[in-house]
Amino acid sequence: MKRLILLCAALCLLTGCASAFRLENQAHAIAMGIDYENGKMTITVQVPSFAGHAGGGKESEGASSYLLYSASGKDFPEAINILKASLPQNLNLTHLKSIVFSMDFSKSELFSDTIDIFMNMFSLSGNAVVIVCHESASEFINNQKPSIGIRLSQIVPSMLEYHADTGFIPEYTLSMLYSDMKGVYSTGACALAAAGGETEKDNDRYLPGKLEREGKNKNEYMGAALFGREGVVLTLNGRETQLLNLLKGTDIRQANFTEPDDLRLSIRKKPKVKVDASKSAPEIDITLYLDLAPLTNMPNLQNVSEALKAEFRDLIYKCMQAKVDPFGFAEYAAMEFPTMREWVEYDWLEAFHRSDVRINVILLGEN
Amino acid sequence: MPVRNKVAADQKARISGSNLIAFSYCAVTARLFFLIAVDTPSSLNAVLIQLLLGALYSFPAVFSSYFLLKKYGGSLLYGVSDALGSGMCRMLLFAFGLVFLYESACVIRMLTSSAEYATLYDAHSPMLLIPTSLAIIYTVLKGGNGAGGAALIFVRAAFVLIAVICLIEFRDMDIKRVFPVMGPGLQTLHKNAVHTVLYFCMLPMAYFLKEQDANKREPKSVFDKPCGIILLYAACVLTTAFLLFVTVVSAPEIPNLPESRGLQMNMLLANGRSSRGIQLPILILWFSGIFVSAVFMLYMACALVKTAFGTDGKWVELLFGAVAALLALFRLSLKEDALAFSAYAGFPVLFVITSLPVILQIRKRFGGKH
Repeated sequence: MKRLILLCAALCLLTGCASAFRLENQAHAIAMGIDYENGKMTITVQVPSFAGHAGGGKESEGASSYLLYSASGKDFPEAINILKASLPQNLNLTHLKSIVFSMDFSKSELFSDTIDIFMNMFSLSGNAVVIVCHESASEFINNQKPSIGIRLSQIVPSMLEYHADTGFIPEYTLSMLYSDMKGVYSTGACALAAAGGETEKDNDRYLPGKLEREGKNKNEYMGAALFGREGVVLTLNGRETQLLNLLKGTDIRQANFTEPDDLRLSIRKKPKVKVDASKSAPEIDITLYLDLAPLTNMPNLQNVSEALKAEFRDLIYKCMQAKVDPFGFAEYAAMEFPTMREWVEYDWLEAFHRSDVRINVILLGEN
Repeated sequence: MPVRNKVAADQKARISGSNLIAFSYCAVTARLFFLIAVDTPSSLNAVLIQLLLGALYSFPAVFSSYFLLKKYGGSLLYGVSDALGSGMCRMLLFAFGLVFLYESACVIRMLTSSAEYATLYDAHSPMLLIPTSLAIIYTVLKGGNGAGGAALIFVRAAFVLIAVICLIEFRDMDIKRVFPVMGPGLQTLHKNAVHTVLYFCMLPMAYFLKEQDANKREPKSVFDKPCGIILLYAACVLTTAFLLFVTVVSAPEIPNLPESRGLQMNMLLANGRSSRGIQLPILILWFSGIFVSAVFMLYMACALVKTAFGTDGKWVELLFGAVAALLALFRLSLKEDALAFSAYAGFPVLFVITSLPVILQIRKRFGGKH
């Protein structure tokens, strides 16, 4: 009896229910978009209403179960304050699945500081996938509707995973972005996207918004936005992103190439990278071990290897010029330095800019 | 009555060898890990060097304890009592008890801070502190063998959880994150390694309370032998080194940004901030590790003071538990205070323990009582 009373008394001390959140009292954002135009930042959040019958059959129903809210301000703190004040419920960012930056914002001077604020916002999920989109992030989020499936919170991550499997986009989260931007090693790369059909078509068929296709889904994911330490400095098209993924040793399973032949490439084993940073112009030796599966006839391996080498070299050169290292070479170079201070003083991105790269591709054909 | 027997007769709070070993192994490893991985982020990626430096600095205390254990048939308390005399021995036990008391307040504070993370700062600190402190005091009241037994179970579960974490994280682990191997440089590493000395010295301090079975002729395990303390020390170093290595190679922290380590940790602990598969095993390990650590600190504080004054009764646990909780409540045992305390207390404790065999030899030579 004494124990029972003690246990009952102890129940009063349990704090789990003290400030319980009811689902209806929360605005759980699943996507957030940030635009920056004419010195004004606009934040848009996509929130499930929990009111509609998502996937009930009618076209409008799935869409209507997600609401968009937006607010503007001179910077992120002001915009988010206004957004919070205008929302009917408490904004909860713990379940954020994706965060979309407009290209203008990701190149702006506010970008780096905003990322700092994000990571120090206690309730914001660091696992949100980062996407940079051409044009408006708000429009991009507005286009984000469940076409196959019911719940966006499930659809968006699985869709991004699928795209990453093809190698056309890199997988990248908010905490990884923060780590790369504030770090002293390699720089990061996130998915490039666009609200499709809005931009002019040009010769590059592997860019978002320029894909020749039809479909209910308006948004397109293709290519990568490469970050420097302050924001986006370079974009890669889908094909270059596939090559980037192979260079990084990312395990992509559905990387089909149409040039120089119709083939599928995958990583046989992690690339072997040697960086000699003892000189002012570092020497980088890369050996790639790739499995090649022909999609039609077996191509000449020597020719494919030479063509790939040239493409890899071009890609690395392009990144060297922009002073970004999304390949992870910095981590190898850092091994030659005893302390962090010496490594930081070496200034890898500056050194990488003038480095001498040798690349070797070893292909193993599968019939 | 010989001095050593007098002190021994006053012992009211002893703990069996196997339980003490499990208890101190678990608590010291957890405390070392939290100190190095979280509280001293300026070591950047060179946490292993910090640990090894700390282990090197503290080894004399462990070796001195081994010497005394060997000389006094496995009882450190007899050795100290012979070296210092009964009165001084009591004072030393009391001082060590106070060290543990303050440390228990630090660990309770750590536990409530972690709980605050987990609740996204929605729960008030005092409300978290009350049940936490009560649970710790209750466990300590149940006695050292009960708590030690629980620690033994935790050690076994911890290995499984660590294995699960390693399996989940294996693909994301990267040995290159260990480089540059000296991190911020030797000066910073030395400064941070000084903090670990106090926690390594907790092993000999805990051995004061190791129970001696009069009927036992042969030690049950190698840990019951005098060299057990060296093995225990080695086990703590190796386990902490392994945990730190896993932390460094797996977490996407920013090596040049010390505060990023705390950021990653709060993401893992906070409800909904991380969807990584390791969140559950990390949560279990984290909270259980700190809990065992807190119980160990409070138990040691009470037991040492009880032994020093030959008192018994539950009022010591209740009083010390309340003091530790109040210290934590009034924010007198925050991370910065804990670091300052370990920096100031570490080397004096090390010096005292290391000096004991020397004092003993001097007393012998100049006709001291023994």
